Amino acid sequence: MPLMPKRVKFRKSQRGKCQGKATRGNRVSFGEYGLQSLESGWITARQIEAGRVAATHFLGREGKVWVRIFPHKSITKKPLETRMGKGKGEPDEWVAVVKEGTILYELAGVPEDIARQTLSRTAHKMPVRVRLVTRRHI
Amino acid sequence: MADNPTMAAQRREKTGTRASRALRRKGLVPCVIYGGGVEAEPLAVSAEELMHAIEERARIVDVKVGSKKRPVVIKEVQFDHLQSDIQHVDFEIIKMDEVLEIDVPVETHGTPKGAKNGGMLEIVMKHISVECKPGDIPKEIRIEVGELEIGDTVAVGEIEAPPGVKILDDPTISVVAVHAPREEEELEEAAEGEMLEPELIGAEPEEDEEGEEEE
Repeated sequence: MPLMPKRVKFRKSQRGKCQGKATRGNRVSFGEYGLQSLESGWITARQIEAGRVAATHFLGREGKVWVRIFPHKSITKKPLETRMGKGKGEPDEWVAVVKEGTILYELAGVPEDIARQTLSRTAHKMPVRVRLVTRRHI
Repeated sequence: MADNPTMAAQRREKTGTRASRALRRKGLVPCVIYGGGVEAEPLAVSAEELMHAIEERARIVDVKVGSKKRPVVIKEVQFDHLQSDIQHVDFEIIKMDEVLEIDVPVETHGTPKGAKNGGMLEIVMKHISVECKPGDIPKEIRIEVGELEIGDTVAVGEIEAPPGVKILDDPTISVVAVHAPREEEELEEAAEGEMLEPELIGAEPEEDEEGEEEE
């Protein structure tokens, strides 16, 4: 099942804006390689899951994958062929708000060429431009 | 000391955001040098030279201001939000005969026997704290992992420190470990399902559900 919060204070949220740059969650902290977002946007729980599945299926039983983002924000949608008004729609999906620089996934325990191939497969599932980054040893 | 890279630095007349941005546009990095009983001084160094030194994992560099050359330790490096360009660097003046504490990255060598049988090598500690003289700072702490089987670990106490280096971390902590392969159910746990609603914090439990249970 796609990721979503276990408990929330409010079912619906305002849409908000994805402005600015990532000031946290922008370093490779757990693994050796990371997939970094180069744009701001929403990544849905299904897309996050698709990226994770693409990576784990390619790796088989090798390596370890970390998902660094979580869909905290609910997105509502009105039913089809409904007239406007009558209040806000019902929650339809959950998204992670991602800013430029955010590390989306991390990977460890595999050589660089395998990591590149794995994260390239994951990148195809992402709705934002991404790039591969490696850990800095400083 | 002879191995330390040398960096030519220039004094910064103007400080602040605008002046720093102007420097970065010129290919320089604003930095500050302090310690050794002297007053902190704002400087600028070449971004290319600095990046090269960092990529070479140099921890001690000789900063040359005018005709004066001083050994410094790279204390802090600030990167931009994409972690690609250096924004600012802190240099601390050191004495080459004084012992200092520093974090050194861990580097593994070899392929564990356990990895060939499906296990995964995990580097638990990415850095190890060491105490040594500036001239003895190792670029990395190298750990031989070729003989490790699944379930084996290497603790801090088992690492042989390079000459002149004292490891400060707790000797019982594991640095690297070889784990058993992941379970299949972990891989396939995500089955497509209906999007459920999360529980509302502070909401009263619904009465309908209770009623249905009673029936």
